[in-house]
Amino acid sequence: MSDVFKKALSLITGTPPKETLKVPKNRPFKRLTERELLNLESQVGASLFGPVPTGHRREFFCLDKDTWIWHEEWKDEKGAPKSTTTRYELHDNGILKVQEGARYKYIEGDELKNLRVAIRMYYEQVARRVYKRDPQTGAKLA
Amino acid sequence: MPLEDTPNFLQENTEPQPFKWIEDAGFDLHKSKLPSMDQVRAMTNAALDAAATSQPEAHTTIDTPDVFAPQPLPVEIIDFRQLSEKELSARIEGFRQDLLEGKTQDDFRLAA
Repeated sequence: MSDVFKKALSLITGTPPKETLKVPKNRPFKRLTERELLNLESQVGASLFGPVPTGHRREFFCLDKDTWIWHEEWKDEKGAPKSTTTRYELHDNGILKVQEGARYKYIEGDELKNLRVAIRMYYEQVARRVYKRDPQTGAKLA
Repeated sequence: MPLEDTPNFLQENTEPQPFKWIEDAGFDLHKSKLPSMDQVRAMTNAALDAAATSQPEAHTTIDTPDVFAPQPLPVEIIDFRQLSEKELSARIEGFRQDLLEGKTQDDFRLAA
């Protein structure tokens, strides 16, 4: 869908069009790799928090059953590339936030609440849009 | 309703004849002495056997739940909002592994 058409549709309907996932076109009949699946999931994950600021690249995905990754890249006022990666580790006693510089912290308050909501939204949308599963039952969607 | 207009079977002797099968077996209840209990038991068993072999469908039309028929597997409906983050993550990883192992690849190809 062209950008002009998307913008026109958005103006007419009043809502931004739902982005379609960018499935690799060069290998439609081959199995996707785990990296490609994570990329598809991350497209969903990055959209959960609203529009990504211009010039930013955002990744948010479930790496494995114990780990979630937030990665953001942008350029500062001088045009220098910046990036930050945050790893959220799911432990029995809480969610540990790990950032560069050996910063570790169990998250709480709004940050914990927002992450929990984001994980549920991610699960619901990834189940439907990437894996074509019913999030309530895990059954394949018709 | 005049008698002549009634169906024939009402004009015939339609009284129940509980001992008719004994008479059919060769006994005259009015002239002969009654059969012994052993004879009655034997004739009863013979009549039951005959009924069982001549009407096998009678045993298959009993309206009971067919407990041996294949049943659809129960679908577990969950409220995923109540699941922990770890459970949700494990489910996502399960979907991913299913796809990587080819269990749902065809569906994905079609959807893609």
